[in-house]
Amino acid sequence: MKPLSYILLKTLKNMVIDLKKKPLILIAYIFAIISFVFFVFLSFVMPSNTLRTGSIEAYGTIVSVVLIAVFYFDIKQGISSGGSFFRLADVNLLFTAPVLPVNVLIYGFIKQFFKTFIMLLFMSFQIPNLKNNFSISAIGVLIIYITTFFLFLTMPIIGMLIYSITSKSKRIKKNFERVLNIFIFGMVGAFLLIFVKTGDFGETLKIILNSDYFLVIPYIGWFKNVLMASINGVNLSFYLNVLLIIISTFLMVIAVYKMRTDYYEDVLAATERMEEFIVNKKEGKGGFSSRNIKVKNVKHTYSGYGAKTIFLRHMLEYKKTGLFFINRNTIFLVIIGLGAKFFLPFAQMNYILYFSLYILFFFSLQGKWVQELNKPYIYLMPANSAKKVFFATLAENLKNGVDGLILFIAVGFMLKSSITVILFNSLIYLTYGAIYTYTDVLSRRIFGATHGKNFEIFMKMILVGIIIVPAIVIDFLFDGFGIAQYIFIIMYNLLAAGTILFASKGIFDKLEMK
Amino acid sequence: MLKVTNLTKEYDSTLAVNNVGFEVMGGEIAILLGPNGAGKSTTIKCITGLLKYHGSIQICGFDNKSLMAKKNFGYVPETPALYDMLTVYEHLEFIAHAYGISDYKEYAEKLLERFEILDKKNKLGKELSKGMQQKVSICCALLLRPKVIFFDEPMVGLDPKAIKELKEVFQELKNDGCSVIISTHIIDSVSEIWDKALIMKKGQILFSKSREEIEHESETLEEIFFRVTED
Repeated sequence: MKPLSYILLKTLKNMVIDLKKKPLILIAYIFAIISFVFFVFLSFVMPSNTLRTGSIEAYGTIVSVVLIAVFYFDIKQGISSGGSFFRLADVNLLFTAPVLPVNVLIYGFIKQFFKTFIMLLFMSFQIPNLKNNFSISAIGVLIIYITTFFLFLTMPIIGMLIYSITSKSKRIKKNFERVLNIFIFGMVGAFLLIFVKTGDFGETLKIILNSDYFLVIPYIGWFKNVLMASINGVNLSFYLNVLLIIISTFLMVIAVYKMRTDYYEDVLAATERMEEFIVNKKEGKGGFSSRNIKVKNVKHTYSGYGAKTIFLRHMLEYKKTGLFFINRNTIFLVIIGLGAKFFLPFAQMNYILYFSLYILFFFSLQGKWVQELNKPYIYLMPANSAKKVFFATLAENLKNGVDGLILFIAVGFMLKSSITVILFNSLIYLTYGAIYTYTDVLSRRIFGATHGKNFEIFMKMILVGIIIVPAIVIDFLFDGFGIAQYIFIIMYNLLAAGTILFASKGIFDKLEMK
Repeated sequence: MLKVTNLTKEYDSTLAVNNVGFEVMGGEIAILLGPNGAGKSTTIKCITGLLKYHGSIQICGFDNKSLMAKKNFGYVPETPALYDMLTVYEHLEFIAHAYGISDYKEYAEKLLERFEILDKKNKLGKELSKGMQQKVSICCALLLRPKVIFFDEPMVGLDPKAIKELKEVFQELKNDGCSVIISTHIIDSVSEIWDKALIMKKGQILFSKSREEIEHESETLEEIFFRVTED
């Protein structure tokens, strides 16, 4: 284990030394830790269930959907390329070194252990939200934290085990895929059967996802049982399911190791995928490989020259990957918007607006503007800097407008809102999108582009937080003033986005490519 | 032509390029040699305006960040950077329009044919191998018919036929009066074509001579390289 603990300790030491060289990043990390501690503290001490009353079934439905999604994608990836704790540097240097495979596996576990803490950081931001809506005690919060940690720690093991089994033959792989499909079709079939009886989409979902049958599904059901204890309280079933998870995880680790002492081969594909994911994330592509995106063959002519070409190219890319601006993000937004009504019956238009703005922030991190800056062309192009900024962000702004309109038409139809409310919510969504995009421009203008992705996201979060304060104040002060509330927010957002755009118009005279 | 004066680039208190100066005339092929980490790529990135720097860089008499300078130079980066969703031909179309070139179609086809990727013109950037991507990157830079062109490790990933073709392109660019700057650490690949050799180490140019100047000396360029760069 000596060489492996050497890598871990040296990595940690070099990270600290690196932070000493970059005080801005150090401040960002300290801020992240403080906010994490604050949110953890807040999630324990804040009173529960003070704003709205969410039912146990609604909580159960959310937990089930999350678990199904996490397990479905993990198993699907496990079948195709496995799971991995490792980076390519580990593959090239450790896998070829005279180190016992079991020690390398333990080393991988320790690495994963640290990575899962990051998941907890994001989880900590959601707990106050859950506590506002559901009756969750302090013990319940602790259960959520520990279960989430354990869930993400075990995911790669399941992936590795499934790949160890399915990579042996095409027939086994096909059979696994069949089992997974049968499970999904089974769920859909059960949904349809109950839907015929109830005629209510939300009610049907609640019945299916809170059924006792769901609880006996290995792993998913066990995790659900444990997570339900955060609202139902700790009982015998909780301990039993914790025990089942621990024993089965332990057995899976042994199985991974014993099934094929040469598990290295099994993790290669997943490690490469992980490496590609990290590269994509750094380039602002959101991590997911573009290889899986279907690209249509479309006819296109450039109707302009210079900086406008960037906008025209973005339009071409949107046309190729969706129906003009409508793509996976739009569908995801609409599903979340419509789903909110079923999961949280008290959800209103403004509630859906706030949540969609939260998601939009993360979409903006992988938008066209961010991607454009990772290629040299925008820097080299003989065009005015202000025009470059304007045209490189135009398509993204238009997409936000279209996404907002589709989302709020769908949600507005469901909530029977007026056309005015739909229109103004769409405009608010569009203007917040502009704030996010131009805050990224501002962030690069202030901090440059040579820092890491996490630092970039963090600084952008802080800047957005500061810039939108007046919009939040307007929202609060003019609550109940009808359209005036919308108009003032939109006016402020446009003013803020326009000011940033104007202040950053010369950015390409100074900006460095990463 | 290219004129670099007192070029300095610092990263986190490390001097990557230290007070570098050189000139490359029209119709001249300059090679920028040096061991790994010598500062070759950083120098080229500063010249192309991708990085901030101290000093002065003039391209065809214009400041390198000016629109006039940008119109006059082409750049083939060390790592090809293609758009995943664009086909090979769409890359050329995009570049032509971005640079305001209208009569590019025939020349674009010729370039693709020359580098044997005409049959791949409808393939997406993400579907190409690294070598193919490098070829597209070269075609994009050549499409501009630049007066100054920078190649950063252009041979990496290319097949022998493409390397041969690229060497011919270097000669043609030279004959057309273009200033060609090639950064490489493989001396053999450029030994026959260079007019001026610049050898860098630790961010500084330690050697700068023309072919005529060293023709009468007993040392080959490779021997000079090792003498200059070895401690």
